[in-house]
Amino acid sequence: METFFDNQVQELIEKTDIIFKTYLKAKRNDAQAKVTIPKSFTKEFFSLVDQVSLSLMEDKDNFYGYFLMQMSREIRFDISSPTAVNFKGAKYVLHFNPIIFLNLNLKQMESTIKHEILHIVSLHLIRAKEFQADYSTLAINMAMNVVVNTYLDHLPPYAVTLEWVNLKYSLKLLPFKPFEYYLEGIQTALDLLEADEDAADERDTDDSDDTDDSKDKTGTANGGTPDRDQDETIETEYHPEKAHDLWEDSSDIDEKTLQKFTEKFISHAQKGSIPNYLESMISSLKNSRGELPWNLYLKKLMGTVESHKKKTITRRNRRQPDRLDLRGQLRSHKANIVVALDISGSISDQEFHQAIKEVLDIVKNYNHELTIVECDSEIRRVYNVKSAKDINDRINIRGGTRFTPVFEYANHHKVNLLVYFTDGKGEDKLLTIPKGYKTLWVISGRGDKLSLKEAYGAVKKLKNIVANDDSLNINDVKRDGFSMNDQEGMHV
Amino acid sequence: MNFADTLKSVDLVLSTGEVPLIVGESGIGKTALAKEIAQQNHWSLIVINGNLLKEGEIGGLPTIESYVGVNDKEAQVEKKATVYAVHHKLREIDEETSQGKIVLLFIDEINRCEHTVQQELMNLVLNREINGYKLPEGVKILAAMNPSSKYGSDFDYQVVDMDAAQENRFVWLSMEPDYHQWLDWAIDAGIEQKVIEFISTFPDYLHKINEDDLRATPRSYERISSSYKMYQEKKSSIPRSVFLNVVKGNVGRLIAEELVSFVEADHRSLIAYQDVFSENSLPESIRDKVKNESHTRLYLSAKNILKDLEATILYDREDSKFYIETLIEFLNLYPVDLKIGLMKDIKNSYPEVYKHALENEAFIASYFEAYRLIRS
Repeated sequence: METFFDNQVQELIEKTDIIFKTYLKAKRNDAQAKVTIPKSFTKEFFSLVDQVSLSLMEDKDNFYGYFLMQMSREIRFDISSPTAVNFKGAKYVLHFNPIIFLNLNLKQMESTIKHEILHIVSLHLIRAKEFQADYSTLAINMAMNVVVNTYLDHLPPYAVTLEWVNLKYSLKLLPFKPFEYYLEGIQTALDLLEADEDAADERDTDDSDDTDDSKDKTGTANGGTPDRDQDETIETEYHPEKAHDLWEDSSDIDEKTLQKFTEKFISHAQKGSIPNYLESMISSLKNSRGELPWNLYLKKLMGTVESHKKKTITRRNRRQPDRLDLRGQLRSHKANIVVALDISGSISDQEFHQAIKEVLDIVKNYNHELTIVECDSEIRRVYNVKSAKDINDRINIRGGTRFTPVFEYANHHKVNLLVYFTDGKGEDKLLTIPKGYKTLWVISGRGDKLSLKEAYGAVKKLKNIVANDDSLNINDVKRDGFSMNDQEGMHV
Repeated sequence: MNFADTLKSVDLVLSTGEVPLIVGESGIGKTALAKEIAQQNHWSLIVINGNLLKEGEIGGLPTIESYVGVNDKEAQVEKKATVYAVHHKLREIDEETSQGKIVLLFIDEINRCEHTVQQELMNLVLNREINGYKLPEGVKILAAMNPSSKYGSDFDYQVVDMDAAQENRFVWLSMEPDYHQWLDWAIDAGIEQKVIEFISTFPDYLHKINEDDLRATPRSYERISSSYKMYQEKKSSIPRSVFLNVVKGNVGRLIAEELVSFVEADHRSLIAYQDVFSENSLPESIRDKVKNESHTRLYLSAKNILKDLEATILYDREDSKFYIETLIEFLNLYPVDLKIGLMKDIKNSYPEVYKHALENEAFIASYFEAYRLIRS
């Protein structure tokens, strides 16, 4: 049954055809002719895009819908893929080539938009630049498309998928691997083909091998076969190696800012639940930046830690200001720092040693005293440290965690600063309220947050040192081919 | 509380003789508020910055003074006593009050000084006396500080928290910037039109805490306004990148990019709340405006309008029917995907509007109508 949507697509295809033909006619008379897009066409075309976007507003796809809402849209006939993105004027711009786009069905249209958004979310626009010097554009483009398309259903028939790449270049690349992995594989395959090609070329230049698309097209770009590239301003079919050319056209903006913009777009688009694969992409994006590290906070805190007085000649004695022979006093900063270590927690010895070294590095410029308090449900051991080699190996009593004993200790020992390393799982309310010192919580990479409702201080996470876990998980087991289904959690 | 509310609260607290303490992020106009209140009441303003004081300064240095006393044999003897020098700010107060003026003593940055300085200032606040110097009758005290981690904000300010006894001396007033009021102020203060339009388009950017980047505060936009003025005057000699860098130095990278491209794009101002709801029905002119706007800008303006509408409906339940009907009429002008997106937003983030919208059949009908486009 024909829907309203399908009818609209049909109409638009006819109109595109007219535009295309008028252009060709004009071109015959005047080589400089430009494609003219009537306003009414633009309007109709975008109202169609609105409907695709509406269809993206549903359920878990609404991330894409909201993301698309923040992007500008433009029509361009000179791109060789249905859609393309770049970044202009503080916004991502989504470009459509109606000739290619209109030949897709609704689901495929959705997918091609999702495809572009996934490129953005995976920061491919930024990452591609790194590899441009050493790898061919074709390899980079294909590798990126493989990564993105693995997550999508309803792809257009010519989409570069993992199966396609594996088949075409006789590779055995695995699914759900990072971009760099595919890039390496594809580039190697391309290099091999090129070597073969060169050998073949020496024998017979005209009998070029049609299986190697890349060769063929790089040829056309340099002004080769005219039938393929009759027209540079209108593209009618998909070319994988040109698919991301538009990225070059982005406004001049440094990577950090671009990443910040991407994060902003993402956070505005994140409403309700999103598919798991997107969630992991987004969290890896956020991790790559990392938050202000805890040691920076410690540095800041050190400036405000105070204790004894020191004699100074810059001030007069407050009691005897006329007697210049008496020295005045200034507050000095001798820090009495307590580092509490939750030995029940899952902080590894290496993590802790590393952290303590950093603490020592930060406080070395201050007159300080550093005490380590090991604690689980009660205080197990207290000792002073002067340098990293004084750190004792941990005793292995691993009970439950309670924070209160440490705070009781700190309250009684004139502490200036308490740094608490823990996995964050303990009581939810302190029985003793910290008095007269600041607290910095450092939550180990594996813990997620502090169980206390009121932290009485800053809570920071230890940098994520990802512990590689290679054991097979039930969710890793493929159930249903390379489709979106195996990205979802199992409902058992 | 916004500026106006804080101002009124400060007034009230001062009139009861208590000491108000304004807590607010940097750059949102605490000092401006003190100036404003002094000006309104024709008081003279004297500012003490806590962070500049060292221990003992406000108390004054002690010297010895001899005086003639009487000993137990009724003979006159010379005795000694410590007297303290008076800090020049306190002397200023004396001078002002001696002319019969009322003085507003504004103690700024009260939590960015050393603990001991805090104690001294507290003596002023609590006993109105320090080391023999007595604050005259006509002196009103107002204090201000940045929020500290103790009260929920992050560790960004190097503050020294007050203890419970000190905290108890004040009437705490927390102050937040309000873009409506800022816009009103900005127009009067002669802030550049483009900057004003930028804030009315992106109200959230007026006060924005950028992680690991500069914060944008009302104060930064004041500075941007003057550099923009310069940039326009000397466009030939100042390259765009220089201007961009200056803006970056005020509000951080992200907002800077956004602002500079906004300035360049030469946008008209967004459709605003007043445009939609000022008349008895949706004005005809809106129709054309919506047609000519881009998706992103329509989305922004709808979100700004919804934010205001949520507040209006909360106060004015009587007229809710009018508001919702106009809103639906307005949203129906929107491209279909935006409309659905906004309806979903209403459901998630604007509970008051949503509650009233649900009672409206046109709202529901319009929602389902949208999906009929893509389903047969």
